[in-house]
Order: sequence, then C-alpha cells, then structure tokens
Amino acid sequence: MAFSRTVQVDAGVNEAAETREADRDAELVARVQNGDVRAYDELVVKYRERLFAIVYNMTSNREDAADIIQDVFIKAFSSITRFKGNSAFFTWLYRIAVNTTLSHLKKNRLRRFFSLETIQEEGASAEVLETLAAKHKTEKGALLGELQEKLNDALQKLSPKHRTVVILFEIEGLSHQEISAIMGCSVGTVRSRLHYAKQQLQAYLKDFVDS
Amino acid sequence: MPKLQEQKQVTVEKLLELKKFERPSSEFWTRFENDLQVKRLQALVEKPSWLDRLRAALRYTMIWAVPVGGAAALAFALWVHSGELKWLQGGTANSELTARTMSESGQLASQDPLRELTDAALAREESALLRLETSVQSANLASASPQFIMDALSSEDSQPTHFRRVMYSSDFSADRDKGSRYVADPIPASRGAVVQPAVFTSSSRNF
Repeated sequence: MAFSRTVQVDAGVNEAAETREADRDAELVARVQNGDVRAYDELVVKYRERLFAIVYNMTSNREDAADIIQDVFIKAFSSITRFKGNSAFFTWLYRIAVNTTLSHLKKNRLRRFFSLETIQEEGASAEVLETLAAKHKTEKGALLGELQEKLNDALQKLSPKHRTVVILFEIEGLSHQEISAIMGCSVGTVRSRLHYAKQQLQAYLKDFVDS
Repeated sequence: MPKLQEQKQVTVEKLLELKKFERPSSEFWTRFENDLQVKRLQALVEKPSWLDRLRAALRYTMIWAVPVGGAAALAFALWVHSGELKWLQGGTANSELTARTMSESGQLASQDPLRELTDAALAREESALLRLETSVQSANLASASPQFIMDALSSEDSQPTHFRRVMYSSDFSADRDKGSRYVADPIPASRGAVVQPAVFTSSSRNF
C-alpha cells in the first residue's frame, strides 16, 4: 500500500515537472515566434545533448550526428512560425530529428564509418562494467572498448525503425505514447518493434548478456 | 541474496543504459555552437534557389490541386453523362419515328402512282398522310419539349384516336405561323404530360 502510494507520488511529481518543462518551452517558442533569437539559443542548449544521444546512436558517427543536429535546429528555426503548439515542442523537435536522421541513413546506407564516444563511468554504467569485467576476467578499460563496438554493431544491425524505437525507449526513456507521436505510428507498432528489436539485440549480444 | 544476484545480472536493457553515458567532450559542443551559428547565418542570408521556390509553389498548389481537380473531373463526368443520356433519349425517339415514317411512306410509294383513286380511297390516302405528318410533328414536339402540349382530345370512332393540342412556332416549322393545333397522338396517354380526353368535333380543329 505504502509502495503504491510512493509510486503515485513519484508519477505526480514527474507529471508536474513535465508540465513545467512544456510551459517553459511554449514560452520560449512564443518569444522566438515574436523575433527573439536568443530564446532559440536557450532551446538549442536545452535539447542539443538529448538530440545528440538519439542521432549519434542512430548513426554511430559523431560527425554525422553533429551535422544532422545542426540541420535539425536550422529546420526547426526556419519553420517555427508554423509550430502551432498542437503537440509538445520536444515531440515536434524529436520528430524533425528522427525524420532527418532516417532520410540521412537512407541516402548513405552504403557509407558506414563508426566513431566511439567516451563513456563516462558513473553510476549504473560503472556497476555494469565491473560485473562484466569480473565475469570475463578482463580489465575494465579493454572490456569497455570491445563492449562499445559490440553495442554499436548490434544497434546498426537493426533496421533504422527498430533502432529508433529502442533508442527512444531505452536510452532516451520516452514512453510508448511519446514514441508513437514522434514516429507517426500506433502504440502497438511501437511495442511490437521494441519487442522484436530486443530479441535481436539479445541474440547479437549473447556473449555479454546473462541468459 | 537472490535480489543481489538479480542486480548483478547483465541484461540488454542494462547494456543499453551504458549508451546514456556516451557523451562528447566540451570542445565538441564549442565547435558545434560555432558551426551552428555559421549555418544559421547562411540560412538567413541565402536566398532560396529557383528550384526551391518552384518546389514550394508546387507544394502549395498541390494542396488545392487534388480537391479542385477532383471536383472538376466529377462535374465534367456528370455533365458528359447527362448529355449522353439526353442524346440517347432524343436519338431513340428520332430513330423510332424515322423507322415508322419510312415504313408508312414505303407502303404509300409501293402503290402505283398513276392509278385513279376513288373519293373514298383518296380520302383514306389523305387521312393516312395527314396522320403521318401530324404524328411526325407531334412526336418531334413531344420529344423536344413536352410542355407545349396544352390539352388533348379523343375521337368517338370505333378505333379511337387521341389528339393533343400542341403549341408550335416558326422556330419549329418554317412554313407555319405561331399558334396551336391538334395533332394525332402517337404517344400513349400515360406518357403525355397532361392528357384531358375530350369529344373531338370538327369545329375545334384548328388546322
């Protein structure tokens, strides 16, 4: 009983925080629509890292990700007057980012240069790395590079749409509803893509994952 | 103890969580910021090419092209269909009439043109010709504009003949003035507009 109440309180707090965020975004968007360019800079700083996480994990290339995010911000800026606020600003921005990345991947499907970012060893990541290092009886540093490569490789083996769903759900932490709004498909499609993608990843990463 | 083991287990979800901690350095963001500023200025300064403008114009036009084009196509199809129906109806009436005219005139023409006719025979001939002529005219008028039929008469003969009062004008027959007349009715009473059977008298004839 006490646990369920705690969960309810947490959900309420999150919802309130999301509403505040959405209101702040709406205010900034209104300022940009009225010609305040500095307000747009605030939006860029707020969302650039989240967009980078999505686009980088979709492309597995840092330079491509940087170019795509810049294009996304320019596209969003030039069409912000057409943003009517029917959805949250981040949903709209993520939709532009996902569509731009998918068309980039379609155009450059034969060109695959992977680049790796540094993993910040903190919290959960440190714990997982320690467990894996103990299991494989190797040094953490050596394991990290191999694991990163394997993870990127496994993600790239998925179809772009399956990859997008996994990234938005597991890495970005978005809900099924939010993903369906961003990708323009039903919640059921999101669930089935996620299920299939996880099965695939489980098979690709069987050396690292406990069965 | 089992809870601890569960925590130590490595799952796909936990491996994917590692990706959250893959972050670029602060130099990357400085360069990103500069590049974005340059690109934004370029976008502001750069005029759209004629191809972009054409694309934008076509995109805008296409929004309206589909519903307007569809409505126009539908209207055209309806217009063609209704015109075709009218033409078919007119064509059927005319072809029936032509066939009848040809058969009746054929009957008359088959007889010897030089033979002497008795009064009775002459009267029959005249009556047949008159019936033929009036039926052709009335059918034409009826098929063209049924509203011209004002009223109708029927004879008291053993073989009753229906007559209709038909308005005509110089537009329809060049050799007659405007007015009205009674004509033999080749159309069954049920097909006429307003049929009022009446006793036929010679005084009411208006030939």
